[in-house]
Amino acid sequence: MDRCMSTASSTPIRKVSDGVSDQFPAGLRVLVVDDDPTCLKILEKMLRNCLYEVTTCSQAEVALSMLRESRTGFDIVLSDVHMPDMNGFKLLEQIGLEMDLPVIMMSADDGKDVVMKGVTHGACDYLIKPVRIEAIKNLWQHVVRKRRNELKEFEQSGSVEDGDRLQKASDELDYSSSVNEGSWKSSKKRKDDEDEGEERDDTSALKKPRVVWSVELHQQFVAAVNQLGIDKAVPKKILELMNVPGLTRENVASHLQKYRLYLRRLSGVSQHQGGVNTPFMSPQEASFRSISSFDGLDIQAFAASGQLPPQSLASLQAGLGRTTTSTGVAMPIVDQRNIFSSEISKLRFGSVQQLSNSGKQVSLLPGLPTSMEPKQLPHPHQSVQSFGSIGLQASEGTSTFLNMPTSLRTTLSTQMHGVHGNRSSPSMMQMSQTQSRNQSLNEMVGGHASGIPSTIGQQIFSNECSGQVLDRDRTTINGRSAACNPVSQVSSVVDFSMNHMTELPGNGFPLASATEVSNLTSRGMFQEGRKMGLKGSRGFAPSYDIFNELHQPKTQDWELQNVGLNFEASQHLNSIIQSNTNHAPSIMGGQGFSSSLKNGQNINMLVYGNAVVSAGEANEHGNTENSAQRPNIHLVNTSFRVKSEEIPDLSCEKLLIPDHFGQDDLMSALLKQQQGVGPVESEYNFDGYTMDNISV
Amino acid sequence: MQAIAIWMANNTPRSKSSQFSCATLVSGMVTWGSYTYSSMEMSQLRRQVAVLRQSLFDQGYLDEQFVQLEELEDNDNPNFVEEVVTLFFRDSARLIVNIEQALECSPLDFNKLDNNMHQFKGSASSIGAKKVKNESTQFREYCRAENGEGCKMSFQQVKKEYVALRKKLETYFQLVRQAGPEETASRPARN
Repeated sequence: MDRCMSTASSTPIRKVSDGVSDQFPAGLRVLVVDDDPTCLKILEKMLRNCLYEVTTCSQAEVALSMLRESRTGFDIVLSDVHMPDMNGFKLLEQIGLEMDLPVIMMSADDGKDVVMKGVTHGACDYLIKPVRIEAIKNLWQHVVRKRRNELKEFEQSGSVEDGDRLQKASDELDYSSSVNEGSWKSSKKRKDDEDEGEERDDTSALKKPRVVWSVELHQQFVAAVNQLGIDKAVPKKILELMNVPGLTRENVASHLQKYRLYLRRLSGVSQHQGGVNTPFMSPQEASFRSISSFDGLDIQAFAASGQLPPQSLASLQAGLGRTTTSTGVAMPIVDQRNIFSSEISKLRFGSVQQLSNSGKQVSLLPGLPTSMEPKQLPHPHQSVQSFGSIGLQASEGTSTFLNMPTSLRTTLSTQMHGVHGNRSSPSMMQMSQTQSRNQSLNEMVGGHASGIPSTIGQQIFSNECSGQVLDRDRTTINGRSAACNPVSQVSSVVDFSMNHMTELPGNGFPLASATEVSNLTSRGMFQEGRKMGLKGSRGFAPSYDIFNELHQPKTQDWELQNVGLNFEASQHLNSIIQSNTNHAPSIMGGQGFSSSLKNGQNINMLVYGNAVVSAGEANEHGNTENSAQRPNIHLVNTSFRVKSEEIPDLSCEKLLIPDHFGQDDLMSALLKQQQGVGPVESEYNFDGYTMDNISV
Repeated sequence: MQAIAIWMANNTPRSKSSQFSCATLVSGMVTWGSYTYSSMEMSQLRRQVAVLRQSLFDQGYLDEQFVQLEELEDNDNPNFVEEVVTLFFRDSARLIVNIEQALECSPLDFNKLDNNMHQFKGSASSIGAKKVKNESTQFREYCRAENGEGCKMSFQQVKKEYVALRKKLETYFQLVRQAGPEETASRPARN
């Protein structure tokens, strides 16, 4: 852990500028596994000369245990194929399952079948020995590409055309660069092979072994496992129960393994998992559905699955719709800004969650440095800013978001991570805001910041966190339907809206969801979106009673923040929803787009201008410009605008961004909006909170 | 050392310089350890190193990978190349023995042979031992064809090249050491 920390502290600096800073690849933590001491020595030297941080290991088993010990300790793994104690491919598979790190295979064997095997087992590259320094120099690109692909895959699921195009372009870029670098025969050949492999992956023709575990598929899988009982579930029987053509026993086995690991991560909750998982899954499904045909929410489909009570399903769907949009937006942004932004967000997420779980903030964060360094902050902060819009969205659809990550874990771990990160980021934003306002909260933030450094490798970490959260939900919620649980969790993550909740009567979550659902189905417009956001918060309250109690002293502060967030979120939702339905950027979206250009976020915005996500973001920015149309929003927007401006600077001051929210004007604006929203508002009692508490 | 001198006389492409270098080499041998070279001699030694080195490339013993190793050498690891090469010969001796033993078994375990040779080849290629690598590749092809005779024959070739390379590199590094740490022989164009 010490090691992680030390490297982590340097990461923000390296990421501060813009995605790829000058120093970026330096310090990349590489684990080299090779039983050949000569190769190991040479590789180590090469890596060191490239300023990577190298750990060598001559046994696959040892490497694996090292990775397990510090899941976040490495960014990439370089492994030989032929090793006496464990086949390199097995190691590769194991890493893919447990850590989801990019793995590069290497071997003197350049046979096409071997190379193909590496690719199909999930290697992100296959280097022919002798490995050349040129390839080592570009090792980092695999770390970056992996992140991008995670984002990409999710986007694809969202069927955003522009996103796809962008991805394509980026792919081409990546490859061309790599080809240039390796300008000799074998390396070229290798690149070609890899190219081929990935190409096929895209078409998913070759990649049968890595079946895409769609929500439906995973649901079937979970159902089968539950039917058999987790202990007795073997791939063959699961396969039979699932009865899915084309699915092989290996696919199931691999997925089962992953699933078991996931269960293990949930630490002892395994028995209930079946129930829990299904709900999770349903959100995913919903989200996907909404993407494909956004206007219609298929409640029926969920009902058909029969796993969730209709009400909860509906609520989930509604949430999902939002989620998808927001996530989509978030992704591109992250991408553009910081390569590692997604990771960062994850880290934050993790820390936040932990905080919420512990109920005692920073001090409880295990392994994370509590002290926050100003230097570190800029980076996270930046990401926060970039995610500002996202964060808002997240707050709205928080519940859905949370669900998504968990489900993703089990099914599509990689993709999910990306999404997960985004989601988490919103929560982080809230955190930062709170921090600025409340000194007491600073601690929280500190934890948050500290968490960031560790981020780089940390998908696992975040996963664990989510797992914990889940556990919590279960315990607290108990009686509730599983579906509800995830939602509550999410909300908690987002902000401490939960605290709020104490005052709020824990409305039946189902009720809230039902109303929301109806709204969505009927219109899918703004109001509905807002309701959704509110709903999420409500749902929380009940589940998190314990939590609330813990925080009660500070509750007010949090609440204020939360409120602001929620409202904003709702606004965003509106815009988002519109964009989704229309697919053409709504007015708001369009405005936002232009504004965003001003801010300097251009790249992302441009690319994704049409994309739903961008529209969402645009709303924030756009609002600033088009304040006339929506007075209420206007205020909020201004605050947003400030953020956007700040982004380029990345100075520590930006951390204070939350202040904007704190301003009375903003709050009042928010309140107004809420009023506009309607009945829901009354329940929240925002007025009291906001006015009194805001100290800024 | 005697062998080296002879080898150099026979193999160094430029006969004039080879004459000269032989003389220097011999004198160096005689007074090794106590003799201090004049700067003139040092520069000649270095030239000698460069010539010998180039000849290893020209004759196909080494390939570009060796240059990669040389380029990795820096203040932190001034003798990196030699260290790696030494490591290679130490570690690969084990594989050679393994293969030798496996070749005496009957029936031949081609899988085992191939695995061992694969590892051997991986090491050899990573130090740029071109000829050894090529011979190993040949051996593996025989393995795959399950051609026992071919394997045995080719293994002799592998060993021959392996031994030859070891000798040449021993000589080379000895000379490098003699020439001192200031060795800055210009690196020939990469092959």
